[in-house]
Amino acid sequence: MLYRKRRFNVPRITKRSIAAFGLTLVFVESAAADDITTTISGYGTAGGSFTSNGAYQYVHDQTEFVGAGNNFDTSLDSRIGVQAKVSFDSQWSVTAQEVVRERGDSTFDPGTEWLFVQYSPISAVDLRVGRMALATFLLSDSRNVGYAATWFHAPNEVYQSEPFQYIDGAQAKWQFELGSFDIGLKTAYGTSEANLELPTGLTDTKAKNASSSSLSVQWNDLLVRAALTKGVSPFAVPLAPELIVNYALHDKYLSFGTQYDNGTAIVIGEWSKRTENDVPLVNKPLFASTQWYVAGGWRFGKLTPMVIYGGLKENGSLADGNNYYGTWSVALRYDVVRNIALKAEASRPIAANPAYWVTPNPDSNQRINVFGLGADFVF
Amino acid sequence: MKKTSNKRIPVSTWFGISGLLLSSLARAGDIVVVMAPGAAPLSKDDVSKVYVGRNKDLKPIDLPETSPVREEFYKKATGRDLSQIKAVWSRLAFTSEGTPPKSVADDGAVKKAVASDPKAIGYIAKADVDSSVKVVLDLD
Repeated sequence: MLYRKRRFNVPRITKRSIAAFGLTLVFVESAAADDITTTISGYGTAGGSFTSNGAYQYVHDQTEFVGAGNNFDTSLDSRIGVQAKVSFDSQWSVTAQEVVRERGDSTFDPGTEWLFVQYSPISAVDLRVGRMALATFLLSDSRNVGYAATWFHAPNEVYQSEPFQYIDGAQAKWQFELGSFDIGLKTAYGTSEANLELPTGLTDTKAKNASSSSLSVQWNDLLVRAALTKGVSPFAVPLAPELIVNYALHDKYLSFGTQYDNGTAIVIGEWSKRTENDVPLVNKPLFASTQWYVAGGWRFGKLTPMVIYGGLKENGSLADGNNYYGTWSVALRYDVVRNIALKAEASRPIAANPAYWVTPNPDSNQRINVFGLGADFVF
Repeated sequence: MKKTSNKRIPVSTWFGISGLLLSSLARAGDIVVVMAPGAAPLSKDDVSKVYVGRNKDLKPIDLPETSPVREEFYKKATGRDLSQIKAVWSRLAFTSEGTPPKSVADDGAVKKAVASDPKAIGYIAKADVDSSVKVVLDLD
């Protein structure tokens, strides 16, 4: 299984992004003028994960190279994010968000995940230029914010499949009411970057023509969203020891997501299909899969148990073949005090499931337990 | 052995006590949503949308997190407790889709903020309503 170890990494924080964040903080410091308001807030998770078998290391996604084995690993799940937003008036603002978390093989690594200027000509329209989260899936843009979710680990089947996590470019959003429906239209275009561990070695890969467009409809307690996300990256695939094929990989995700939350019952479901162009010389794409999950929870006061089932179907790609993997998880959220939620979660993927492990074992159907435990907070 | 007195409490007194209890319970829950004088009435759904970040046309104002009126307001207007509301706003704030309502000290500060800004909306105990504000929704 030559391509089993799919490893991708977002770039470390650059000097430029540090300077930009510093600049924003300077804005914050000098924000004493009349109409300028500044908001500094943050979130974080203190916790960790471990597995029932040390041979299998659990990771959330492909941007993490070091997983949690059978020792309680706190560097995988623990993170802290600080956001500064400076509003110059009701139309112009600058937002920066710095997140310290695991990236690649580096733990507690700071990175600028959001940094953009926003202009809202009317309250229904937001125009942004800068760095924003790549909203491939329903909750991609808030995945770091554990406090906002019921589960401890976002379902791996869906959330590990996209290597790119942000977009540098422009975004337009329009939100309006249509009868009793709230409609949101959003489109973003730009570039992205990821450090990919390919069979040919570590490669700093840029995605060009990256775009993500979505339509969301909210009706009372029900939200439905459809999104199409694309990107083009140069890839090198070794078909034989002396035959490396270089080509432009066109990656595409079609995603549907829904969330129902009436205050007591919560149901979240997502379905996503990843398709690509074929690798030259072989009539197969490098990656092709369909992934989905359904999560159902019920609030009993401060306690919210949740059950999650996730499925991953490989669609005959060069990297993965044609298998199906299903995994059950149970999670519990306990709103212990204001601003802090304690979480516990257990999942039972098989050892061959490529969505869960740093190095899956394609020949083993053994079920491995993954346990997560921690506290999510906001401040 | 001393005999304890076993005077019967008149039925009317029981009525009086329970009546007092009932009225004090009702008073704790008597919350109204207010805007500047001249504002049109709003439905519970309208108010809920503003306070969970789905309507950005109005500027919501909160009482402090420790205020029992705040807790009661969210329960009645949105059907959610304060932890759930905080989770909703965390998602909006850290994806820059919204800014949580501004908190002010007490009912007086809510009235002052609302009276001076036609887009501001707040909630206070019904007993504190005066002519500086207009009740747009009664949540009792």
